[in-house]
Amino acid sequence: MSGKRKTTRVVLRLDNFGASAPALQAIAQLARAMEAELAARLVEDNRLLAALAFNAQPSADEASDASARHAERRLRALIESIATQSELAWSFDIVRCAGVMAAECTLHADDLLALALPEIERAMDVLREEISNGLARTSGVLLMPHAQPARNRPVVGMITDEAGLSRTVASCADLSASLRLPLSFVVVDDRDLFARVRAAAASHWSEAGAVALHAVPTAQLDILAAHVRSLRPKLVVWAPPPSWLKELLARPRLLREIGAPILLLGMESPSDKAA
Amino acid sequence: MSGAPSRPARLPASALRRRCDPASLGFGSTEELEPFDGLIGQERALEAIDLGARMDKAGFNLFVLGTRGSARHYTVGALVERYAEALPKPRDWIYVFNFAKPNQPRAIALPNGRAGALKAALDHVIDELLTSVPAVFDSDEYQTRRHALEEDARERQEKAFEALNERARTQHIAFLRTPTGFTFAPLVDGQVMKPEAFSALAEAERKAINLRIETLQKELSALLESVPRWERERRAKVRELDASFASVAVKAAMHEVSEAFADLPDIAAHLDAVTQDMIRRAGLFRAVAAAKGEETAPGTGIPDLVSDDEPRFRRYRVNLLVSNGSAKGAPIITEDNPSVGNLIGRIEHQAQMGALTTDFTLIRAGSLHRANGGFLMLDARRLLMEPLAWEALKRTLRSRRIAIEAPFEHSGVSGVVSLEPDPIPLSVKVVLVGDRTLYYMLADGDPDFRDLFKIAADFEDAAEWTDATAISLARLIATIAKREHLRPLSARAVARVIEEQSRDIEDTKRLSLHVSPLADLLREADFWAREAGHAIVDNVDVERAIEARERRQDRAPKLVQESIARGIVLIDTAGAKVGQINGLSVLTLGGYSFGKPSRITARVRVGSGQVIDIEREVELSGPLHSKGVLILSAFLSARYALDRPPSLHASLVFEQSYGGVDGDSASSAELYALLSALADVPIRQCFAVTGSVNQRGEVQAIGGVNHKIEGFFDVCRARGLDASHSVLIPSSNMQHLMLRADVVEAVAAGRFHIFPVTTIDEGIELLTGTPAGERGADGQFPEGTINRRIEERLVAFAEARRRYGMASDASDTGAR
Repeated sequence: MSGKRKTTRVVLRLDNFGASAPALQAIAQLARAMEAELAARLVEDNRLLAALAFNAQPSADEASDASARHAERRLRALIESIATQSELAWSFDIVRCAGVMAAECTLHADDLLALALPEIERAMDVLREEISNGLARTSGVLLMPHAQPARNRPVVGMITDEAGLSRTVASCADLSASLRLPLSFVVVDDRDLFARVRAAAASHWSEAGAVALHAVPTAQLDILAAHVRSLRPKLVVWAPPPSWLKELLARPRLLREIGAPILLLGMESPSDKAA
Repeated sequence: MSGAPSRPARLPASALRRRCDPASLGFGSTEELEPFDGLIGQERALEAIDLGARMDKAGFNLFVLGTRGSARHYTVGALVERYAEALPKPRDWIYVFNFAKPNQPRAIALPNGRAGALKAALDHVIDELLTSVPAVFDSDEYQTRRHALEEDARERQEKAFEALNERARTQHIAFLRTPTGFTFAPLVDGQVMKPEAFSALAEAERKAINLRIETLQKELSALLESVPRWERERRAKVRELDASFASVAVKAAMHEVSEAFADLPDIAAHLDAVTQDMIRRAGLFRAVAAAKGEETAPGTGIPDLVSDDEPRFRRYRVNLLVSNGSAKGAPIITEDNPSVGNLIGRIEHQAQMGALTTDFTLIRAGSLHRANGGFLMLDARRLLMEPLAWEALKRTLRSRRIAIEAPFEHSGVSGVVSLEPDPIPLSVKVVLVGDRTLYYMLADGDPDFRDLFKIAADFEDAAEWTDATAISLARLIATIAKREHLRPLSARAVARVIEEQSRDIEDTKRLSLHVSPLADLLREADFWAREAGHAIVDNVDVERAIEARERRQDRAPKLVQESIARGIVLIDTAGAKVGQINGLSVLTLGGYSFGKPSRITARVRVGSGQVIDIEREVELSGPLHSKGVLILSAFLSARYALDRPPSLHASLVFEQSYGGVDGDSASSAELYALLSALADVPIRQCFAVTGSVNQRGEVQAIGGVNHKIEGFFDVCRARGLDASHSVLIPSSNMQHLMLRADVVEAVAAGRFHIFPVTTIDEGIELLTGTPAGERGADGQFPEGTINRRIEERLVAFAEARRRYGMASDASDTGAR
């Protein structure tokens, strides 16, 4: 991303529960737009292996192992097919660790963690941990919903405060240009902030067509999310400040309020954080 | 026999053709005449049509009888039109989808002219909904509410799982998802307890953990069992939401049409059903609009949202079966191709993916539908030639309702699943037009016919030739000329046409009412007038048209004439011969008739009273001819040698006749030949004879007298008319003489003669120049008469037979 450290890998966290093909294709498309490698990591949760010992079925271990191998083959073939179609550099590895520890096992500062969300999340606490860990260790977390929005929709940047402005505008501009999509910004209603967004957009945007700026007279996340959804975005980019991130993680439903893929950007450079 | 035979007088030229005086017509050209819209001499038929057209009871359909070319179709059509105009316009009929029983389309009647509006309105509604339904579902309001609804459902599940997770955690139990489902495991220090560690626990502790896990599993089971129910509830709410939004769009689109047809209960009920179905199936409009949204109408750039015929929308459309909006009164439908499908309608099918499918929009109206409330005109012959059509028509008329069914369905042959459209009540007056043979055949052979066609309108072929009918015919000629954009005709031309109408039926007292040949003659006369540069059609043009028509058809008579002229066919027109006479016959080829002389000869000898008809012996004679010959035998037996047993053996033959002979018009000629042979008196060959004879020796009228005379005239003229050539005709045929102009001229010049005869005695006197003779008080014919000679010959035969004891023909030895 311009002016920023380049994302080298989009790490796609997979598990044996699978993921929807449209979501995976959308992630691959984004990886291509970022000129990053698609690094698929199949996490085999150690906790499950332990828990299966309590299963009443005597052959559960064997069945579970066979099932895992089958899921692995299927996912590998799917990723290979999608990556080949997208002419994308790709890798596929199996990571064995406790689920919540996967981030530590697999992620680097220049990575972008991609999570394909199930239609109904039944392990919300796990998701919260993964988002938190991802934002702490990578340049961002991409939350890809089960269903994909239609084509030719805009990339929408959510600007909620000064801190995330520059990164959000830059990322949005890059992705919008790469994906050849319109660009819009939804800005929390603050005159100065709005002016800065306008200036930042002007400096980053060199493509044909205007950038749409929408001021929303509220600082409530759900109202903001509803406004973003009304734009039917193809992708939402947001660098949430800590307070908002806390709210988001407390109410993961807000992720779906937007009704589109969300790229959550870390507030600071991961390398800075590491330092 | 009573009274001495009078010598017949030759007919004057004036008696050979009835002239129509142009001056008597009272106009210069047909331009001066008012169009003729009536009928000439058809009072009986008119009365029948009037009754048939006005009688509104079942079965009073019309059968119009008459010969071809009498313009019955046109005439009856014009007449029926007057009645139809006075009748009210019938209702419109539509077929619509039956939402309760999809394979039984509903038939609904509307006041005339309103069905088209309904169809257009519903087509418009569909087009409108293709835009408005997607727009409604695309609105922020819908999207927000739908999203909230979906989120509520998701959140409900997520919260339930999270609560279970939380309860498990508080009990130090891990709630884990596996690819095959959920599982619980004991936790120690936040990690799943290893199996060996669990085994090492005290029995009571293990039991407690297992109990907790078991309780949680029960909760999980209950939760998982609830998920499908929640999903059903979610779907129901989505449906409800969709319906509420669709309802807004659909009701808005349907409002206008519902208002417009609120006065028609059946239509209002149908529109309600359409509205409800559209609301239920609103997704269809969204899907079709989405599929077509990217397409644009060629060259317009406008989204092509107007579906041509999207099959899934057909259930909302209207099949406009019959529209009487623009009608003036009741309809008059003429069906030229009365097949079953064309009569009672049909259900068409479309091939889709190799299978035949259909729906109510593919129901096609038949002519009975279109004529419902009015008149349906059919040609009886065409109707009867169409398989199953006659039965279908009768079935429909009997039941008084039109039930469309697949062909052969009623016979159980059809194997295709099809529709069963509502039958439509029928009130129609069927007018069958056919010839008399057909009428009588149906009346005798079909028991239903008389019940269904109670009115017979019998069209006359000819009308009496009076001044009034001549004027009417002249006006009809003027009407045809105007209708056909022909030149006007002069009075002379009309007079010539009128004469031709009389000649057409060979009757000086009547005029043919065959309009078709009359119209053809007028067209041809107009052609020759144009060729000649005449502004109006004159009698010369008519004459030329008649001559041209004769010339086009006279190949066969010319060949006959040529054969006679070259001596191939032996016909004597001079001299005198015993037992030989020129008979006259008429040949008809392809509707064209011409006269032909034939040599008839007779030979006699002693025998057992038989007159042998050689034609009959070789089965070349028809029954009428045979009858005529048997009458000769009866005549001879009854007149001569009454006290002697019949002892004659005679043979009669049409010389050089290689086809069949029928009719009795030559029976007088045969009798003359026989009498000549018996009397041994020669017949003058300059004569030709026609006429039938009865047992009393009276000569009776025959047909084709003009052609017969003209046929002999042509032969004689080719050889040179010498004032001796004559034709004997029955006196009763004098009224039929409408001879060609050249024949009339020859008679006027004394070069050809026509003699009317009443009896055989008159004829034989003319033919032989010998008196026939009348039986005197002594019971004998006078000496030197024909009859005396015949009787003496027959007595001689009887004597010879007695003398030689002849018992049978096998031992005959006599000679002529």
